[in-house]
Amino acid sequence: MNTDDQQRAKEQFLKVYDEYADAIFKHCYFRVSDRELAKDLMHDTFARTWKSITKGNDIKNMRAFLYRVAHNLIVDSYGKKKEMSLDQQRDENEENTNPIFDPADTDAVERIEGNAERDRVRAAVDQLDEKYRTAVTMRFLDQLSPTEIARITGESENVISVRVNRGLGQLRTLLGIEKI
Amino acid sequence: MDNLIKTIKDLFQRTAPTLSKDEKESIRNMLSETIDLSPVSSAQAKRLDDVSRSAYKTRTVRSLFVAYIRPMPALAVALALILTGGTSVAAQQSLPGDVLYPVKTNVNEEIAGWFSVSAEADAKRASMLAERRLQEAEQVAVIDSELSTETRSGISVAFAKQVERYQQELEQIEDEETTVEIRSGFEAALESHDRVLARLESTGRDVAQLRADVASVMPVRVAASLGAEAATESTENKSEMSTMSTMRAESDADQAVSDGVDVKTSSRAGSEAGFEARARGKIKAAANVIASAESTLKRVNGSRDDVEAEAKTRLKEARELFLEARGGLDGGEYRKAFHVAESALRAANDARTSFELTKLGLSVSVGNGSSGSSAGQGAGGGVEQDWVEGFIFAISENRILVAESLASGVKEYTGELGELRGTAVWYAVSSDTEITDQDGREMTFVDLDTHVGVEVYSSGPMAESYPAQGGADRIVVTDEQYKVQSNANLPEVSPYEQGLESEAGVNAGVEGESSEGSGVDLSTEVEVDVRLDTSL
Repeated sequence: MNTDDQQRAKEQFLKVYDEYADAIFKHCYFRVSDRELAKDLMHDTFARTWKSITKGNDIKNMRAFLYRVAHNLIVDSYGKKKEMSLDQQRDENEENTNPIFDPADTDAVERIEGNAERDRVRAAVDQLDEKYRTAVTMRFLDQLSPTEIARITGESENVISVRVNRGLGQLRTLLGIEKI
Repeated sequence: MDNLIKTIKDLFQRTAPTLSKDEKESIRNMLSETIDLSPVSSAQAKRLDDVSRSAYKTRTVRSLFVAYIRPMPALAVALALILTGGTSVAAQQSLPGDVLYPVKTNVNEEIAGWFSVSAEADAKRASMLAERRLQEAEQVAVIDSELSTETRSGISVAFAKQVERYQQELEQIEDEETTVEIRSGFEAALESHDRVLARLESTGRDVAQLRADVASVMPVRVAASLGAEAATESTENKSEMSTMSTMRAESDADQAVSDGVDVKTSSRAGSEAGFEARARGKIKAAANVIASAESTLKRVNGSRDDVEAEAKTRLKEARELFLEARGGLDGGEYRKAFHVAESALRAANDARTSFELTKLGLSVSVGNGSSGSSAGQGAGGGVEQDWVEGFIFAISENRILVAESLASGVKEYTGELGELRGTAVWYAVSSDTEITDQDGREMTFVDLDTHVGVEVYSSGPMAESYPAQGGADRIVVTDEQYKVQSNANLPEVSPYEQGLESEAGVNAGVEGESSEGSGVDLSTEVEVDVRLDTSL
């Protein structure tokens, strides 16, 4: 390979990262409710995508591709999570959410004061069935169209629309939002 | 409907977490390593050009990788570990003495450190890791009352390394607010661990070396937290440390300097203004400790109600004081804010210590041991020798899940709690675990299989959860094979199960599962077949 090509490709890809890292991270977080895991998944999403590029995969729509890779990784992670013991899960959470001196967490003050709403949304999203959570996250957080969601998840558009709708209904109940 | 959609969209956007710059940067660096390790062909590079040909602003990325451009073999291995996940994730859960522990302390954490950028982040990270070493040491001390000399000195070295790094980085920080935040937080953590270690020592664990290590980095002797308040008033113009601790006279000057508090400034600090940065730092530290106490609390479900209630009250107090301190800050009363934040920090630290102790199964025992309460409300587990007879239903990494049986109709355990019946324990199997068949012939971990009958002997407390968790000292594989339960024919409750619940109280979180099937009054006196390992 040519070093210049490599360097250029690398720069290109890192730009892709700069552009989408936050969105993919948020998506992962909504799906798994675990900050560190979400970060890992986000990293893996880009690493996989890169691997896919090196294998000669022709990616037409980078954004959709990233979401698809992320989605697959998240689904895999559910399986892994199940295999883990409670203890391990707890240890993991401990590793991950222990907030003392977390360098990432520069604003604990703000967090304590302003986390009530976040907790509420978090709890509601967590209570949704996985398939509804997926649909709702993609639709309302990532603002993907039902067609895009259908392609990413491999479901039919119809199924996705139904899930988005039901998820929305459940969210309304869980969040205590009055019928509008 | 449209309004609802808008509301949900807004809520989602507003509550979505954000990556910090450091986080984004560090993942970017990892990614860039990955890219260097798997090159593309020219044709592929061309394709990528096409895909991402949009108006990104050009940025020089090269400078970021200069340091990493030639990965050392160790780095390549480490990255492979991280990318493939397996080993490094497993290592992350390892404790001192485990095979993978060096991977965790030398590889995982080091790598994470390479990507930190500021002295502040480094100091925080080092203090966090120092504290983690203590937590691990405590966990290990609980599981293994006799730590090997190597393990002990290993912990000391690892701890000292982080402390040294912490101190170095702290000196680099010029901002007083940040210095106070980090320092106060770390010292609160040390104080908390000092108390936990004292408790461990009082229950016969050999943690003298650790306590000495901790004491050596605590620049001030921790006063019997009350009474410090009085001292505060007279010394408050010297250093904020005095609120929580009585200072050693000889370290006074050092203290003020290393606090980042210019001695000259602090003599002027009688003015409100001099307190502002320190108040802010202290408030942040208090917020950190409150958050830490809260997260620890989340992990100690099923602890003793009385102990927990007390700690919760203390935590609530901390939150109120915290808000008061914030109020003081907003109102320009920096000195008051500083002192109130100090009290908040202390209250939160008390709560955290209590939760930590509960987590380790060391909460202060109130009343007699046989609480006889309903399942799910285990008493703080003491250190006892127990044995459990059952079948292996899951094997993961270095653990086996041993349970009495599966729920009726369930063929395999897939991770759902409802699938287990009766006593269920995840046992950690280490190289010290003796595995034999019924006739005493040696076996190994790989010989273990699901549905195989086993008797497991363990010492040390069980983590309070369902399934419970503990370390296995000895595993005896029996001839029995598990037979799937057809339906309501639940097995009779065996004596050890009653024993576990009424005596050792290790089965917290059972949530009525076993009592539902047993119908036995757990408060009745039962003969417990506990085979004590005299070597303990």
